[in-house]
Amino acid sequence: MKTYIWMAILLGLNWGGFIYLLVRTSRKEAARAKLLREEKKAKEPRDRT
Amino acid sequence: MSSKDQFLSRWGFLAAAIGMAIGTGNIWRFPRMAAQYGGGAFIVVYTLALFLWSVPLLMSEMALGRQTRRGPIGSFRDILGPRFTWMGAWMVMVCMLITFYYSVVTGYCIKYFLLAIRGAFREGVDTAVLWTNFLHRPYETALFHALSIGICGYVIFKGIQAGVERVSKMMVPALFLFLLVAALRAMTLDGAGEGLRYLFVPDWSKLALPATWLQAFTQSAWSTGAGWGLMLTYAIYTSKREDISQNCLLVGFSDNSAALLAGLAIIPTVFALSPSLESAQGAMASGNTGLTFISLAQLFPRMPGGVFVAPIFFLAMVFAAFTSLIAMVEVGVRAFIDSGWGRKKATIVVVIGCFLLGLPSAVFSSFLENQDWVWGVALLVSGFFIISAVWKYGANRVREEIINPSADIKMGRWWSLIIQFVSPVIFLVLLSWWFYRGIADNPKTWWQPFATYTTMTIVFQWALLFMAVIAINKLLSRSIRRKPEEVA
Repeated sequence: MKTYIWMAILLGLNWGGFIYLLVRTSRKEAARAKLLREEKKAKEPRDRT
Repeated sequence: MSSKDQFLSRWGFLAAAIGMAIGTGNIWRFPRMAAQYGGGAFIVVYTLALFLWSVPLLMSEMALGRQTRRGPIGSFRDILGPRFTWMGAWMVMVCMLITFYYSVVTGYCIKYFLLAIRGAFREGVDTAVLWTNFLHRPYETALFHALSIGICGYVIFKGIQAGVERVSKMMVPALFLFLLVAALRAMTLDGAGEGLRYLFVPDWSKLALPATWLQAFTQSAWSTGAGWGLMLTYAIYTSKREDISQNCLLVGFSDNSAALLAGLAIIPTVFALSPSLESAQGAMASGNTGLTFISLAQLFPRMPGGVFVAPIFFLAMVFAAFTSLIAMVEVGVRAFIDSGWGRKKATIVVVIGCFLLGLPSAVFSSFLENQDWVWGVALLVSGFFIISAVWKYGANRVREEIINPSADIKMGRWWSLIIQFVSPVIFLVLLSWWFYRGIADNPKTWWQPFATYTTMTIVFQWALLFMAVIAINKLLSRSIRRKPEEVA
């Protein structure tokens, strides 16, 4: 039991940090991509029909 | 700089930077160190080292590279002045001297991957003899060295986007997946619990040993690539809005995570499949290549499904080594590009140089061991040079003008305090310890300059390199082009 508690603490510390930063980066990149898409859409000429 | 000489996306840069950090050391050294120096206690100190040495240095490197848009030689000239260009040259040369033998090591991994595919690791095969025979066939070690540096050269020849970024985006996720598969198989073996206990339950008494702290800090420094000039070089190819702090934290944590995954793959395997506890402990103490190419190769046939796990494990080794090798060769190539050479011509020259100067390590394994001993420690000096450049530029200026404006996670004053005061103390303690142990452990032989593992061989070879880079300082300073490339 002691082994698994320590395993959870130490993996949680390192993998937790890694996964948290990965998720944070993904969200930021997704937001940036969305913004770029909207900017591009706004620049496109409107449909004249 | 053409737009093709920039990372296409943040993920591309992160894949390359994570691939740069995760190398063979994560797989074959970290598990041994953790097992030897108190398991969980070592992992706690190793994680602390990430914040006190590795991540601040990675951030500094990335800040300098992005600010100057030059490799280490040009960066040191621009920031510290022409008189200190030699510091950048030292950094490039140390990195290249490691590259010469690291390509040979990558070749070993390719060879063992091919052996694993062919099913060469069978019950009854003496893997120690297999390993010794391979090392005693110089044409074969040289051939695999040529193969690894040749493929690496091809990737760099293709450029940042089509070469480095594309390969890293494929290899780094695959590396994590392969390590995960190997770890899951190892953890589900009968008797794996003893290995997990060995790896994770802290032996706090080991914290009283200076060696535990020093091995954890040096392992973190070498493993993350902090102070090598690799992050500095990759940073040249990033955009001005690239988030330095979050990217470097992510690289640091990914490196630790991969090391732990490798520990989960290796230590339970060794403990579950070794015939006795003494035999398992013997395997853990048999050195990097002994553990990987002899002990693990011997244990895979005893593992249910080992015929599939062995190639996966060695392919993970190949990918880990290869993505680091790419970053190292790029440091050399960048030095030539900064002097006005084209990428293709520079790559050809660096790859041929790496092949020729790596041949002694390919032919004589004792030479490889000596080079690893000498230049591994020299990375600490390179790290100190990065700290010096940050001092000169101003730690608060680096933080406020370069790191924080584009940062999602802002660095506080603590960052400046660490890089100005804590990191230099760590450098002094680590280096002094290496020299002290070198002399204290070998009182009769430490002064021999031509032995494999002596303090004098370090002093002798460092002195030669110092003299060489100081002698060509003016030439180097003038050779760097005046205007670095503008990047959006």
